[in-house]
Amino acid sequence: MNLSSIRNFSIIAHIDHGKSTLADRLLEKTNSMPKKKMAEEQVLDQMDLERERGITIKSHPVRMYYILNDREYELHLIDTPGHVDFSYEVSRSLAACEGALLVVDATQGIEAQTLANYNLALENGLVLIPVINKIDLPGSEIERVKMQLIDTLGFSEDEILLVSAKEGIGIDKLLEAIITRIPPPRGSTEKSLEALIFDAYFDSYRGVVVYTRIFNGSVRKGTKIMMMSNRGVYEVDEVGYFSFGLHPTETLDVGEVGYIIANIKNVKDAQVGDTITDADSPVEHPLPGFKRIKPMVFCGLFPQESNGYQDLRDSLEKLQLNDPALVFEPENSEALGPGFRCGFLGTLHMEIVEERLEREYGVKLVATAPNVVYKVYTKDGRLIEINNPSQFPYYSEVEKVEEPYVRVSIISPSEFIGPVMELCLGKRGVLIDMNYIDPIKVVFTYELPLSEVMFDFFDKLKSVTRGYASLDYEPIGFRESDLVKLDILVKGEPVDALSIIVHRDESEKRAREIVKKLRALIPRQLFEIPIQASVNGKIIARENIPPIKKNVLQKCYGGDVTRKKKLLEKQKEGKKRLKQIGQVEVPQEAFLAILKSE
Amino acid sequence: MKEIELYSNKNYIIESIYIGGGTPSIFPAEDIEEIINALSSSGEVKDDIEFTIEVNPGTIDREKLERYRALGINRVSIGVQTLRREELTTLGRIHTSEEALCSIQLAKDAGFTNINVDLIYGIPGQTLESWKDTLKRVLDLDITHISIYGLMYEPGTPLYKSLIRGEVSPIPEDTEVEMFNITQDILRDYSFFWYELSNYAREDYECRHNITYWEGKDYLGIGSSSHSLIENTRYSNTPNIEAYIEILSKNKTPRVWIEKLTPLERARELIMLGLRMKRGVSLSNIFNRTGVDVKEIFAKNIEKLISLGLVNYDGDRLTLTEYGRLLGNEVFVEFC
Repeated sequence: MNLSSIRNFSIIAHIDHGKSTLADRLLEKTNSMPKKKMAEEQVLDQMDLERERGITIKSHPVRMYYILNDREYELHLIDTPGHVDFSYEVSRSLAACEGALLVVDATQGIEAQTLANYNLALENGLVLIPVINKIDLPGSEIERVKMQLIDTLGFSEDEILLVSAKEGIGIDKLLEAIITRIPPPRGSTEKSLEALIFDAYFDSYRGVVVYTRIFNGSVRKGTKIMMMSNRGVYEVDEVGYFSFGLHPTETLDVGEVGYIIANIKNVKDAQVGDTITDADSPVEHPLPGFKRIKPMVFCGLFPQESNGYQDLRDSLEKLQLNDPALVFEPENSEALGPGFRCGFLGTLHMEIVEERLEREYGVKLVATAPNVVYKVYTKDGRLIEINNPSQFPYYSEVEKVEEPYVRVSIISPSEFIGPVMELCLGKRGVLIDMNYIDPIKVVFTYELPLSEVMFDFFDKLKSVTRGYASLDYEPIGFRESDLVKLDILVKGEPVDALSIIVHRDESEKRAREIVKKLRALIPRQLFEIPIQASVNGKIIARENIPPIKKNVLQKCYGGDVTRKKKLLEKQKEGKKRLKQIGQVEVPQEAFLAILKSE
Repeated sequence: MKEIELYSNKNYIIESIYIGGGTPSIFPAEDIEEIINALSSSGEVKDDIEFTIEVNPGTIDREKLERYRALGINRVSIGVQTLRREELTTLGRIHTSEEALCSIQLAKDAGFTNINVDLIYGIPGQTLESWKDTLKRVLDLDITHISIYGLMYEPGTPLYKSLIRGEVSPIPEDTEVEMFNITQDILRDYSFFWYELSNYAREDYECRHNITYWEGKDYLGIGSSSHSLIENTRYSNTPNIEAYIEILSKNKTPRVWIEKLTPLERARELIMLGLRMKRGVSLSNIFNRTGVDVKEIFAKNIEKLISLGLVNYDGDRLTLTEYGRLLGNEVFVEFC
């Protein structure tokens, strides 16, 4: 297809502003949807987890054809993940496009992810089409949202399109705008191959399927390609485009979005953001923006049963085939035995991995509380990067500690300015900026430690703003903090898997909360169990779990035996779900409970 | 009767008979007599058998008891539970404490020399004093056997529902433990000794019938929802009375559930039941009976229980310690 007939675009939006429904309508209007899919909703989100959680985890490209003024156009829509954990993937998907639809809910207006996505799209030089969605809803405030788009994001009024994806209003106009406003791709078939990887997955029959956008040259079966980041060379087996599945074509030409299968065995060898070029005549420089993915959040994953280690390892390896952002290394916990320290892009990514391990691989897990990476400078001049509180050096050896910080954007109705500021202050936030988007909506910019934002910050923000605030953040590097290691001792023994790293000022409050929680969570046993919290060798909080004194079946005669056996078996089953730490049996919840603060 | 006939060709040797479950004492002596006749025509009844009937206060008089005795019944078990009115109400019992005391006296007057009384402690609202009072007043009547149960909230019972609804609150565990402890002291004063977790007797008055259960010997249950253990197999009859009658009218067995025990299951049961008794279990005896080497299989569990102070072990015999008596489940669970 002629370059001038191709358009590559994404849809970007805050969560629940109607991105997936709008994609459904575009597919319908261009007759791109197979008949049997018509009845479904959000057809691009195919993973069970995506549909259940109403989120997009993987990129979903799809090709559409549309005729405007007697001319046929080839449109590539790349549906992108919608969560801050996957912002790098989103930025690469955007880099594969020339334009994007910026969708805003007519009842909500601009939210934090609207802003974040807007900035991401501008950084990638995209042409943006502002779209106000859900205009059919009774609560829609079209004029107000228009003013936000004009005043805050600098659009002009006549650029803004009004749409109801649900009712199918304004879709023709939108398709027309995609063709007339978004520029066609540039580049030349004559040049050497230059293609961007924006996603990939592993297929057990065909190897890695690489999602790519061709910027120059073309690729076909037999082309020798090279990955520029690691110089890996492969011979192409098949190319094609996406339309609810893979559709092989002879070539993938400049400007097009499609897939390449080239007998690649591991997704790690087809990294998102990498550039594919001709092995025989490679381009000099890769496309800009390639980054190696670095995990931001770590936690320990242990098999619940002591013989489950090998199963867990196999399952993690299988998952990693499709998820190069997942990293893991063996970890031996004194308390929990052998397991793995795993790294994730964020807490959502972590939850997804844990859920998939349990659901798809049937592995029963004990997960420890997640933590970020810390840089510890020791008095003897060493720098230790730790991803596990148990690696924290002895306190007298620590010179200073740095932790990752993020720049946070919060958008909230102005009536909640007080509570939002109070929350951020309590989480060690520094206010950088505060602006009114319109008379009743404020955008805050804060700098906060990632560890404070990652865990329950969003829930708290939602609760202090009655659900009205939205949040987005991006990393801004490491900063020094007065951090200490908080150890938990169960019956006098420190339990490595329960240690956390906290700010010194918070340590006493957290210590008291944690021992109280553990007291409630750990079932009584035959002996008294003291639960203590210590910082720098000093006990700062303590609770006692009193012993069980009486547990005996009172009656057991001829007719009772079978029933009583069942009762005992139930008691035994209950014990199985506990993890034995020294003499004490501790339930899985205990390892996560240490996270949440009051 | 019909069910007993089903087993008439088995030639069982009957060492003890126990008529219980529900309130058998509401039946007139004639009905009981028919049952006894049927039993003696279907098996060999030994001369010196222990023959018990459960009796609930308010359902008997002296004449009925005398006729029971004439039929060969030599032991009565009376469900007194407590002598406090409020506590009886909480338990949902319809009899009064006067009726309870009276029924013990009636049994003695009728010539029974082996009398058991059931009592319950740990009832919501019960105090140490009220419990002591009930226990002593019962023991003062010169009985021979006493079964003492800590109150259990069994799912499905009215009391359990009241507990869930918050209408009653269980007494503190510490109080219950104290009740248990004073119970031991008082019983010692009255020359009763414990021989099973909930059972105490004067010398030579242990309940032979119940020991059968704890020693894992065979027994035959007759009636709706009764259970049997015969040659390593457990059976239970349908709990539905209509179905029970219907099935028997067609001369079929009312047994609706059968569990054949593997040697290991059998060994586990023998430990769980045997440990209830003061004398505990002999592991070599279990090996002889089942072929299962408990010493070997449960070596770690036994070691753990010893270190927790729950059991004594002399290399063959396993018994609960004084401390282990209140924590029996923590012990049994290691063997299930």
